[in-house]
Amino acid sequence: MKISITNIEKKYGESRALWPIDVELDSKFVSILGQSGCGKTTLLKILAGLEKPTNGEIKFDETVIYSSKLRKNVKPNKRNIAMVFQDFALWPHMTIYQNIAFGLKGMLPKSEIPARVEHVMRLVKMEGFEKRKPGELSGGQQQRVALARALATNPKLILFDEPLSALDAVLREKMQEEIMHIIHELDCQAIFVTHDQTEAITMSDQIIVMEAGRIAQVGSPQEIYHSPATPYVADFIGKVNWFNKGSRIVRPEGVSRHSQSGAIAKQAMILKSTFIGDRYLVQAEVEGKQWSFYENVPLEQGKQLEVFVDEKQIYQLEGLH
Amino acid sequence: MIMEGRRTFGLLLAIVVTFAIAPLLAILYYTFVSDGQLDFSKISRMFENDRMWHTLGNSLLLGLLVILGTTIIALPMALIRTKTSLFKFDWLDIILTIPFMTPPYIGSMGWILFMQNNGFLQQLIPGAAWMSDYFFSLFGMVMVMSLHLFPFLYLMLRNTLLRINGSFLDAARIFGRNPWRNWAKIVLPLLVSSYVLGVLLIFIKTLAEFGTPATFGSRIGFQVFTTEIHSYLSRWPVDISMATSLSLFLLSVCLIIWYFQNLIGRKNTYSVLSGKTQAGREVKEGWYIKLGSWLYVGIVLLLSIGVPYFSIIVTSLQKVRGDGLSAGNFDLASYQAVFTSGSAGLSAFLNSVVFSFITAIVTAVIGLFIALYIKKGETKKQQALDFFSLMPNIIPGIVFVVGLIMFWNSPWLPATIYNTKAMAVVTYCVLFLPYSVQYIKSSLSQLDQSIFQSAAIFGRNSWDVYRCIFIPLLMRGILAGMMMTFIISMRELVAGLLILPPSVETGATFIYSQFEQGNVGLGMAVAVITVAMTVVFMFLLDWLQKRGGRVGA
Amino acid sequence: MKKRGLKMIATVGALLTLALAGCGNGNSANKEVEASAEPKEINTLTVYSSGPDGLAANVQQAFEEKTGMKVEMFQGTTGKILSRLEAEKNNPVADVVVLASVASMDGMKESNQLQSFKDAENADQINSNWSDADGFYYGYSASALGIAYNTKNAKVAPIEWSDLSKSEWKDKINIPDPSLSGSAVDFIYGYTEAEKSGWDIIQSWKTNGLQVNGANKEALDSVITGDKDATISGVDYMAYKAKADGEPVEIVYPKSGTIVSPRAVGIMKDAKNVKGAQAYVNFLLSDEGQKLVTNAYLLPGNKEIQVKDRAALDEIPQLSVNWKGAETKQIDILTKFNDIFQ
Repeated sequence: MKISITNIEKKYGESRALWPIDVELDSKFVSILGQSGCGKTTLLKILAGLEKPTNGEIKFDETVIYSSKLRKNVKPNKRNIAMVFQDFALWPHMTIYQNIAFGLKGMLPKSEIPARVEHVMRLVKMEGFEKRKPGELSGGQQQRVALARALATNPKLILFDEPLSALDAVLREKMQEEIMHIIHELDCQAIFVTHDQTEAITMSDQIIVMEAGRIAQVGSPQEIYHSPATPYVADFIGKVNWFNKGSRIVRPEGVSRHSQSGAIAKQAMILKSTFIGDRYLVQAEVEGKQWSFYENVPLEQGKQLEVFVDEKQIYQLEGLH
Repeated sequence: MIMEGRRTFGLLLAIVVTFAIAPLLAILYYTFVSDGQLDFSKISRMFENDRMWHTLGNSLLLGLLVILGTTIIALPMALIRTKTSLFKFDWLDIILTIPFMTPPYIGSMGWILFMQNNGFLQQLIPGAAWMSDYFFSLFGMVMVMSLHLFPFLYLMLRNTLLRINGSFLDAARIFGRNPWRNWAKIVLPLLVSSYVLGVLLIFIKTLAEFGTPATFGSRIGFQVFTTEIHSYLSRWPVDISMATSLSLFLLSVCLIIWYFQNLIGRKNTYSVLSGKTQAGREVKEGWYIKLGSWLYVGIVLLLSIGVPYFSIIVTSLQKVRGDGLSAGNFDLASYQAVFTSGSAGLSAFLNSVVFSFITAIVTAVIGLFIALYIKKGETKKQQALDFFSLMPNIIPGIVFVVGLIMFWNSPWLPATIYNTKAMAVVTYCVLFLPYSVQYIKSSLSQLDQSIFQSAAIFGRNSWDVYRCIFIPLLMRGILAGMMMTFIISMRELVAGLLILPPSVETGATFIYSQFEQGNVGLGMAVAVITVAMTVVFMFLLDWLQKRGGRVGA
Repeated sequence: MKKRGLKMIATVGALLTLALAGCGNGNSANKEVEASAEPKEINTLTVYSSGPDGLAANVQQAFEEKTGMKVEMFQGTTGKILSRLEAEKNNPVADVVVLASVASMDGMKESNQLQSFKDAENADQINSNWSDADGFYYGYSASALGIAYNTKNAKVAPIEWSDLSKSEWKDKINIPDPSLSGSAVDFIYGYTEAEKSGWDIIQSWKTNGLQVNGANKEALDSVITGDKDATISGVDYMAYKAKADGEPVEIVYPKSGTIVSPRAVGIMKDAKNVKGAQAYVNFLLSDEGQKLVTNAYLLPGNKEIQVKDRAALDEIPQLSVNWKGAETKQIDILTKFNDIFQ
């Protein structure tokens, strides 16, 4: 399914949450990445139909979902989408079964509902919890149920609103994998809002980086990492070493102590070496800036040495400065 | 850690028992024991009395009708304040609590003066005379009481709706098939539990209410428990044992209701209270919804504040009350009389201020220690103290007052505070301790556990820990509790009527006695001054909470 | 600055808590106990007095000026004073009691709560019908009960009690609640004792929409504000006072006779300050005290004193009533009255 967003903007009175946005999304797993307050959740809610944009048009394939010109606004429950909320939003007075079955009534024949609930509960590995109430489950379990509820209606698109931010690190990684796995198994797309760049890079096929109500860059994780469109994106994703001119960067992988052909030599003073498991992250001062690169052995603090930058890996930011 | 020692518990319990529980035991003793022997004749005399059953019927009926009345006012109001564009106007919430802060006897006097034959309404609109007959009935009494109590239910419902409004409702909008089903299956069930808790408290408050039944109820001949107890104690011929028996009965009724409330509360309070509220929200609505909402708010404000205050202020300004609203019939003589130094009204008002101020301080200190001891109420002892300190909230004030009179007049006491001003302060403290305990507890619950731990580790001694850590951190809750206690103490009536020593009046008893035998205009002037001060305090309280909220965030 | 203030408040609070807690344990002498012991000192006198508000205050002020004694005054209706005395039986504080009903006063004498003061100054000048022959109480003043009506709203002035059963007074009449107002009990008692058809007339008022309306002032207030047109058993001094303030009120005494309800003063048996109490009684009976009484538009106990802006005692047609031993009968009458009206 191709999601076309045309000229969508959102104002709250005088303050702007979104500047006019144009983007087409057709990948299976899309992440919207940005700091809090950048408008990513607003964009997601506009896609869900929970917020009404001030202007613009949204199409799912050729179907108009929202259009300010045509005065068309398909209701959230008619968009064939589902959503997983940051706080799970499981209705506390209903059992897990009732929570999941709620969206199925009127959609499936009554007799098929139990089987469907059982099916999605199995997908998220929560069989046997149907009779519990949300309050009796742990955070991770609630997350799974929220996912099951989203899967139950067989939606074309599932929207995730920072769903993993309430979980601890170990659980989060596990859930990342499971969500990816389930989405790729099923015939549906996912849009995943997060402020965690690693999460976005590992999970998605397409990333939208947002900054202050605007889209900073749209692209695959590789494009975003290697060819950031703006200094903001470059800084936000991964570690970055800046050259003096301010528009050229190199990632730490492009810097080493070993001379190669076509490498530029730079004088560096070691500030610190930090063990990060498989190797050391070395921080050094290069031409008055703080750089970082990887090394197999720790380097002595205060040591002066030469480092070499692989010219092929230098990237020039476009159209800036 | 600090505040957990056995000695602390003993001391706190001793205070609470002496002041809150002993009075209740005194009632029990007086009802069931005569001449050192168990004696059930007094209580059976009460049960044989038809009048008692009639009163019980009246009280319960009134409670149910007031539940209905407050629901009719509060539910639409809560919806309007959460679902329409009026959600932005937070100042409405302060205005809407004014009726609850208005002393009920003043509010109902205002209504009576407005609606009575040849009253202000008929002077303004002569054609509205037919309304008076309908008004002076149970209907009018329920209306006046509902208009007084609705803010309480409204605030509970509004807070619940706000919580539901977040992602719970968003989820329903995505997964639900139609809005009606969402409303019926998601919003309503989530709302019902807090509604039931709210109306049960309204019911208890109605049973405990004295001011309106004493003014409006006595006028239409509608007797309830509180007025019966009061009249057995203060009308000729006096029947104290009947008063204690009735108090005991009323106490039992309230405890039963409270038990049910607890039962329902435990079953239906959901630990999952996620539901983030949205930061920015805009509401698009038709002009008719907007107009209707404002109209509704306007009518409620007109009825709950406009009418009673109109009567109160006009009466306080009238020269000749028989001349009604005619021009030139107004001056500030009553206010001048109040502010003449040494006037009875002024000294009564100042007495109220002093008593309320001392009460606010004493309850804040005791409340602070109790709250620090209770913390999260994990041990049996903590729960017991929690229950005892909150008990005065469940038990009607008049029952406590009767108990306090019985207790402090016991012949075996070596010394008594009865007939001294301290009696007034002690009574107020007992009645209003729950407010400060609740406020301090809630601000305590916002503190992280680690603060206790770090205090325990770094504090040189426990006094320093309190002085430098807890008291400053809890100051906002303490001040809010003090403010609330002060406001409520300022308006307390029944305690003052029954326990004040000779030569001492409070603002409330002064106003009340002006209706009985003095100058009504003077009474109303004191009422206006009291209420004006209360409103100023309420805005201060609100400001304090907002400011504190920002600092705390 | 601010912090120090808070600390001070906290300290004061803690001290108060301790003081109160200590009091609860009852083993430490403290402020409150001393306060309750104060009346023992001969220089204060505790008076429980039923209305009128202004009179009690004026008497108190004049008495304090004259004797230098401090008066602790508790004001309330007769019912309230009686109930307060009952509640604090174990720990009586009142020295002097002033009631608006001689019947209740006689009841107190019978139940042995008063002490005799035969040698009161001016005792021989005071109306003997209102006072006790053994000096247990003196009727220092009286009010006559009439029909108080609103001159703006009433189309015709009422003349007789029975007028108020007529249709033009339908739903326009009220009476003070006898369980709150000593004078109203006196009225019902006296009227039904003296008039054979008394209860029938009361019944006919009830049929005509008679409302029972709180204490005396509350009943009169609803006539002043126009809610009702007339108060039965209206206390005359209140009506005269309202009239003097410009309110549209007038009072009439029916020709068939009405009740004069005496107000009496007596000394409690347990009085701690007997000397002061006697001085207080003497003062009330003195010409000066009696002048204050007439200033409040009441009938003075001493006939020699001129009344002020009101009908004198001999201008008021009276029903003959014997107040001695009336109290027990009054309870029956109150019950009967309540049965009719509730």
